[in-house]
Amino acid sequence: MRSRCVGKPSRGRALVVASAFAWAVAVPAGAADPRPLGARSRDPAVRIESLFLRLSLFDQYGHGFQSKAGPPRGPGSQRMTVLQPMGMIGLRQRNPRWSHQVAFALDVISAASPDGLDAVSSASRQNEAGEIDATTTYDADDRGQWSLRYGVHFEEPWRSFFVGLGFSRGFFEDNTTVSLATAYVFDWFDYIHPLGWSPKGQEHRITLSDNVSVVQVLSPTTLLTGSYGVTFQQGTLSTTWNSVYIEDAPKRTCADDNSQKPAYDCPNREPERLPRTRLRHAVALQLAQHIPRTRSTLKLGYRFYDDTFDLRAHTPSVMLYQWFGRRFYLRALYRYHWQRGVSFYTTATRTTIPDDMPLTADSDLAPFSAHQGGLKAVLYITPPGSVRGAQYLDAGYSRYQRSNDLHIDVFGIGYGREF
Amino acid sequence: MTWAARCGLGALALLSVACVVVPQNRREYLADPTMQVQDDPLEARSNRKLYTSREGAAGGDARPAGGGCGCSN
Repeated sequence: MRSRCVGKPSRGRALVVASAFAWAVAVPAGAADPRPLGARSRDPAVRIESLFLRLSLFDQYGHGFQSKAGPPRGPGSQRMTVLQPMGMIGLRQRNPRWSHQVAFALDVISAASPDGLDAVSSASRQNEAGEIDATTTYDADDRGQWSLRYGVHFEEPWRSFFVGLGFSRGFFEDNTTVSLATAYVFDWFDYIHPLGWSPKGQEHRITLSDNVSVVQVLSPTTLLTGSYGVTFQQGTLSTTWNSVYIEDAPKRTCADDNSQKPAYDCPNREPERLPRTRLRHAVALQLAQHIPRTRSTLKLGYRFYDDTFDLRAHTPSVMLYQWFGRRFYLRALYRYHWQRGVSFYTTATRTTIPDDMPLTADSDLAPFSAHQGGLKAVLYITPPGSVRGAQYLDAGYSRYQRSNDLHIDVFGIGYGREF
Repeated sequence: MTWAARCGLGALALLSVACVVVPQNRREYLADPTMQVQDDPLEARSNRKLYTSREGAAGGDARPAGGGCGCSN
């Protein structure tokens, strides 16, 4: 299946955006800093503005027909735990127009079957992944804010590089803020066949994404956020070790019930096949209402998604915040997700199906609904608005439950500080 | 009426409300931490990780693709 309305990104537009960014940042350093030169020179070259730390644990149970960690006919286990330490630091240069935000994340993943090789040897049932994501922002006052985003991601079979440009500007006394962003992501990874070998070497895919978002003040207590994103992808979009059971395959070497030790040389599964291109649209809205009398805040969200895989989704959500005193609040979350599933999802195939027909048994692309509910507590060590800067600790738990046999318990603790 | 027409009418209704400009000195409630678009930037990243790796319809926000569902980004 090919996407119907895919076009190459405009090189001219990219040049215009790049030129405008270069022009904006070419303003002489300190040109708009009103302080005397002596006062400025005593400032450190770079100071820390904010610091965030977080540790999350994802504990997942379930089964999917793409997984080989089970009987050949499936479904296989999707048991997985992910321990995820993360950090983010905000920096501001002596020229206060320039700021930087650097985030890093490390994932320590223990999974039933992270890839085909692992399923044979179990040598890498614990994998690590790392990511650095930086954004440099230049504030041109009434001309808006320009940002450059860049980063890398490393994982055992997969590497990724991304870069993007953004522009944000306020209108009507900053009652309306409009943001535009464009990003380019290049992924390259080892092609790993479901039988555990690598017949093709390196594969790659590119992603181009354009987003526009608007934040609108509707009243002294009401805020509306809306966004639209369009994303085009091209290349190997499949997870190469995901496989589909072949119903009419010869069974001479295949056991039907071999629990966690299936016969990996069994020729009764073949790799999933996804189209080489995908065009994706996502629209999101969020309405936030603060209720001063009860010191509560209600956030209502909705997201609509559609793509050329014939996948369509609706995701409403609600969050309720309640302050208790000046230093403590609770947040309750409920999120519902429904997706139609891709048109080529199946739990099994046959040898008569043509090789060029898309095919997947990936439970993430299947039709399903998901509920998520959770609670988070936030305790401020120094309250918001304090001259020393806010400082808080938080702890939360949520449960993500899917209708097609998968659930995840999510635990998280965090620390944040503004300097 | 199609869903697109309904969305358009809804957007027009909201924009008509948005014509009122709220001055800076009346926005103290909007500065409340609970009114921020994102509560905590790292929590947002963590949630995004959960959704992009478990929902084929998640993403589209130009982050690295990730494994798990072929849906990438």
